[in-house]
Amino acid sequence: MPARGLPSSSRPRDNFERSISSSAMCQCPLMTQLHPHLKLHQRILRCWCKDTPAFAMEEEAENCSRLRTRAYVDSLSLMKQGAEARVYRGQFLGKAAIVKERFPKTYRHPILDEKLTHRRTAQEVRSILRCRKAGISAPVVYFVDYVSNCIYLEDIEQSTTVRDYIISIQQAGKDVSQLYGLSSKMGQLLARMHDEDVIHGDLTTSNILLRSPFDELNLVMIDFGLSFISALPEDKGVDLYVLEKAFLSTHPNTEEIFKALLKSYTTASNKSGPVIKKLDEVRLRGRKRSMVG
Amino acid sequence: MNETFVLELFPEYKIILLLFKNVRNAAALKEKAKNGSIDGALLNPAMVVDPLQILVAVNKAIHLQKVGKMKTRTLNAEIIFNLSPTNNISEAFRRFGMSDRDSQVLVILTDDGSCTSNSQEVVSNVEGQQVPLSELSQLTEITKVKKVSKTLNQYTYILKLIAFHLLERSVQIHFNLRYNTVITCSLIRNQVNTSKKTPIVSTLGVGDPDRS
Ligand SMILES: Nc1ncnc2c1ncn2[C@@H]1O[C@H](COP(=O)(O)OP(=O)(O)O)[C@@H](O)[C@H]1O
Ligand SMILES: [Mg+2]
Repeated sequence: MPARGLPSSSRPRDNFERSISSSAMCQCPLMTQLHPHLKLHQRILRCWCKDTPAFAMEEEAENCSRLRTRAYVDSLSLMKQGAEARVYRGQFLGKAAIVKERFPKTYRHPILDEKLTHRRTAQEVRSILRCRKAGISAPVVYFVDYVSNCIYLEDIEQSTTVRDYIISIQQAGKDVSQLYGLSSKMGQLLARMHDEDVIHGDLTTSNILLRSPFDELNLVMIDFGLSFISALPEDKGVDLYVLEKAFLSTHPNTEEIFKALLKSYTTASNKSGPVIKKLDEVRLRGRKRSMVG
Repeated sequence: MNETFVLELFPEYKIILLLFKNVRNAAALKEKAKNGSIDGALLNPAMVVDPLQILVAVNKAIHLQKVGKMKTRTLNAEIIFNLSPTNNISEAFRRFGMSDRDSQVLVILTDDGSCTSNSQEVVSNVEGQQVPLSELSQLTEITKVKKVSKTLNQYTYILKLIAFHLLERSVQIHFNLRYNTVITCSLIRNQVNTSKKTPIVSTLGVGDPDRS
C-alpha cells in the first residue's frame, strides 16, 4: 500500500516500518498469519469482531481514557509539533514534566499505524531505561500510557538542544574552539550508548540536550523512538553516519569539530575499531549512491 | 498532618498519605484492610524513598483500573503491586505491604468520593503516633530497599541512589506487562548533587556509574 500524504522518503522510518509497509499484506485483516514477525495484540485482532460486549466496554473505557489525556495535555503548553509526535511541557505529579504524545497518522493503515505507534512508544521507553540503567544520562520516565501513546518524562529544565547551542555560539561569532569540548563529550556519550548496544536511530544535534549551566557540558540523550538494540558494528556505523550528515548540514564549517567527536568516540568505546571501519564503508556507499542518483 | 496530593490526570481523586510510628496493632489493621473496613493501602514505610514513588504507583494504578487492565483485584492491591520490582503479587505484599509485626505504617487513601474510609477513621483505628510525612526519610531502610533488587550488587552507590536503581528496575520488569512506569525521584538528584561524592552524581547526570 503506497503511503498517502508525505512522500515516504522524507519521513523517518525504521526497518520494521519498511519491512511491513512494503508488502501488500497491510490491507489484509489477518496479516498476522501472513507475516511471521507480526504478532498482533489481541486487542487489535478483536477489532475484527467488534460486536462482542467485552470489546465494546473496553473500547468505551479506552475512549474515556483518551479524552482525559486529551483534556490534560491540552492544558499544557505545546512545545513542538513534529511529524510523529507532539511535545508538551507542564507539571506532572508535581514535577516539571514533558509529555510526548504520538498521534495516529492517517496516511497509514489504521492497524499498521497503531502497531507502529505503540512500538515506537515502547521502544523509546525501553531504550531510555537501558541507558539510565547503564548510567547514561536520559530523562526519567514518570508514566507511560499505551492507550494514548503518551510518555511522561522528566523535564530537563533550563536545558537547550546541542543544535541551538552550537548555532548560538557560531552566531555570536565566538571562538568556536570551545565547541571541541562539546563534541568530544558527545563522542563519549555515543560511545557509552553504543557499548550498551543501544542504537539511537535518529541522531541529530536536536536530539541531545545540554543541561544548564551549559559550560559544564552535561549532555542528555533524548528522542529514542527509532532506537533499537544491536551489537552489530554496521548498525553503530550507520548511527554515526546519520549524525555526521545531520551535523555537517545543520552546522556549516564544523568538519574539524565533528572529527574531534569521532576521535573521542574512538578513544572512549571498547569496540570502536569495527564501527569506524563500517562508518567509512557507509560513507563510501552514500557517495556512490549520490553519484548514481 | 495528613498530606494530600492531587494527580493532574485524575483531579477527582484525593491521595491522602498518613504516616504512623510506634504502631501496636499492625495485625489488626491488616485484617481490617483485608476485610475492607479500612479502604486504603497499608505500606511499609521502610520501603518508600520519596512520596513521588507513591504517586507514580497510584497514578499508574488508577490509570489501569480505568482501562480495565489491573493485574490485581483492588486499587489498593494494585498500588502495592506497582511499587514492587517483580511481577509476583504475594512478594509485592510481603515486601512493600505492612506486615503484622511492623511498628510503623504508611497509609494511602485514594478517594474519588467512593472511598469508604476517611482519614479520621484511619487515625482512630491506628494505635500509634501519627507523624508528619516529612519524617518518612527517617523511616526509609535502605538496606531493605537494596535487598529487593538483584542488580544492585554491582553498584556501590550511596544509599538513596540505590533506591533509585531499584525503582528503575521495577519498570524494566513491568515492561512485559505492556503498561510500564519508571520511577525516580528528582529529590534524590538534589541530595546527590549536594553531596561531595562526584562519581555518584554521575549516575544521574554525567560520567560513569561507580561500579565495584
Ligand atoms: N526531557 C526533556 N526535557 C527538556 N526538553 C525536552 C525533553 N524532551 C524533549 N524536549 C524538547 O522537545 C524537543 C522535541 O522532543 P523529541 O523527543 O526530540 O521529539 P521529536 O520526536 O518530535 O523530535 C527536543 O528537541 C527538546 O527541545
Ligand atoms: Mg527530536
